[in-house]
Amino acid sequence: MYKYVLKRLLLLIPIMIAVSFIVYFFIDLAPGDIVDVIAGQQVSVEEKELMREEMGLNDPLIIRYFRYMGGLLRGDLGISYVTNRDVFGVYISRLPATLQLAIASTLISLIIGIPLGINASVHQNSWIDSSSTILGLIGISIPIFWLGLMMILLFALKLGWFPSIGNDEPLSIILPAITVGSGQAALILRTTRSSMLEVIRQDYLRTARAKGVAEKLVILKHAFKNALIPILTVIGTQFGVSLGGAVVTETIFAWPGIGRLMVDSINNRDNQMLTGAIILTTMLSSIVILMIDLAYSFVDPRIKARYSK
Amino acid sequence: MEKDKINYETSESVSQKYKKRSQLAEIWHNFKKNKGAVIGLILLVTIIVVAIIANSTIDYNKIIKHDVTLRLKSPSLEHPFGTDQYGRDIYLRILYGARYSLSIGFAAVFVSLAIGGVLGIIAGYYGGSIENIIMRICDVFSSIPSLLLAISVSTAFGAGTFVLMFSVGLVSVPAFARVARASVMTVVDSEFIEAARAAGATKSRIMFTHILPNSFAPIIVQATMRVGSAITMASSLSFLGLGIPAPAPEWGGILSESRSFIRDYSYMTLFPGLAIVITVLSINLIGDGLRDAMDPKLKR
Repeated sequence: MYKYVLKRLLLLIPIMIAVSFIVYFFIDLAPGDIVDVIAGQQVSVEEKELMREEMGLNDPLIIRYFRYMGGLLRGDLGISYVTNRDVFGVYISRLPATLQLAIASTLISLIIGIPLGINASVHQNSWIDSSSTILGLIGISIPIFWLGLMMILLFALKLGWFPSIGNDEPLSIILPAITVGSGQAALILRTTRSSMLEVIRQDYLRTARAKGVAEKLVILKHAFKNALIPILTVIGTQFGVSLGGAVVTETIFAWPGIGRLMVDSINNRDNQMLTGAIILTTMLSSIVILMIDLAYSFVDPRIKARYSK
Repeated sequence: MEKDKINYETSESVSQKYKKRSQLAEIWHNFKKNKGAVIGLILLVTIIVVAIIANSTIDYNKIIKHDVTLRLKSPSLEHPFGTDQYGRDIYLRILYGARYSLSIGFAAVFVSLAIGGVLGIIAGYYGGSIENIIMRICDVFSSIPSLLLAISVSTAFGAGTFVLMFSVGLVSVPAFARVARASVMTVVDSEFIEAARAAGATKSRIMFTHILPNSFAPIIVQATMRVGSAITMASSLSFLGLGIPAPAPEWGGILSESRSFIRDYSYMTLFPGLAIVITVLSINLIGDGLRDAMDPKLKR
């Protein structure tokens, strides 16, 4: 078992190296010259060339990349040329806000998605089922940024129940968390329903009922527990995604997290910051997804048995 | 009497009565029974027709022309969805803009289908180290959160329609590769493939004329569902300023512009968003319908 965990962890390393190379490569392609940004118009062409040489910008991509990765291992992703701030430091300082939002939205999606999904599968083809199905479909069809704007319009501007932007008040998190959480809830609802439908007709459930197990226990303990793996996968992926994917929501609600940091970097053409933020976020979400993956290999005896040898 | 009659039916008339439907007819038969899917199909066809009519009748200059006298008019009979801060009619802009969302959604999925599908078929057919390399590359791309991957590509190549199609399409390549590989693996050991091989068919012929049609169902379902998410993602990128540049009336772009007016002119935000929701919803309804129609196991 531990061998399996170790193997999965080791497999992550080459993937992370490749991922960071791809991101570095893409953003390096972006038009615009850093030296022009720093030096401005006054500096002569020769001086600019000298600066490029000093900063190592003339080196081939692969050498610059390895220098960058060497820095990453020491927690040093360089200084942003636009804001003059330490990329890694800024990223770490933005992380708590994003984590808060990711946890809150995941909780909301679980509270809404799982009960509705279970209910729909238990009452398959009834009005409960079809209304949950419609709800789920609408949930995955609404673009998150529009939902966010509608939330602001209704609950902040018209009703005035919650603050619309920032994270200064404790209630501030509610609107952004619902915005991110509702799309996830729809996905979890759909996954829970279809995964429950797979197990709900199995013979062992009939056996459990025949033994006289209460219906509630049959559904929650016998059926749900066995339907859990696809649901956990979705939850894990969603949590991982919301670490970096709350880009749009954070922008709308002026939530000072990583997503907003990335959008600001795009707007300021701060590619140093953008590269660092995307690479770090990808690593973070990959680790979270791997952890969830490993978690259910511990929970599910079927998977455990397969890898215990 | 009725009973006797049935007994005397010739084998020919029986086989006519229970005529084997082709796979496509079977799917259509199941699809028709799904109310939601039919509604989705009608909606989508309507949207496509409206987009075509709008693009051939509405003058693009009228869509982007500023007219200060018409600034920020609330919805009325003359301007059903009101006008924006430049005096442009939002109703006409949304009708005209349907083409962007639709074409980007379908083109992006075409990109991911073409790249991912081919990679998946090759991986599933050859197996071994070729499969390993292809699938590891897919792992790499799928471990970057999708919006961030699209942002990286859009940053690299600048904003524009084609970049948007490609960057949104690239995001779904690994998903298509996995689905295609999995469905190829289920048929690759069948006898008819062996027969084709024995008859001397080339590898590419086996892959594309024998395997591909037989692993179509899951790929089509995946493709349909991805059109919806591609439209949403493209409009998110436009919303962030990485999509089609203004003044083109792309829905995400219209929404982005309307943000500063949400307090007093909320109609500006409402309508373009509803347009996206209805379009994506109709596609997802079709996708769900196709999934159920192609996978009778789920119905039971």
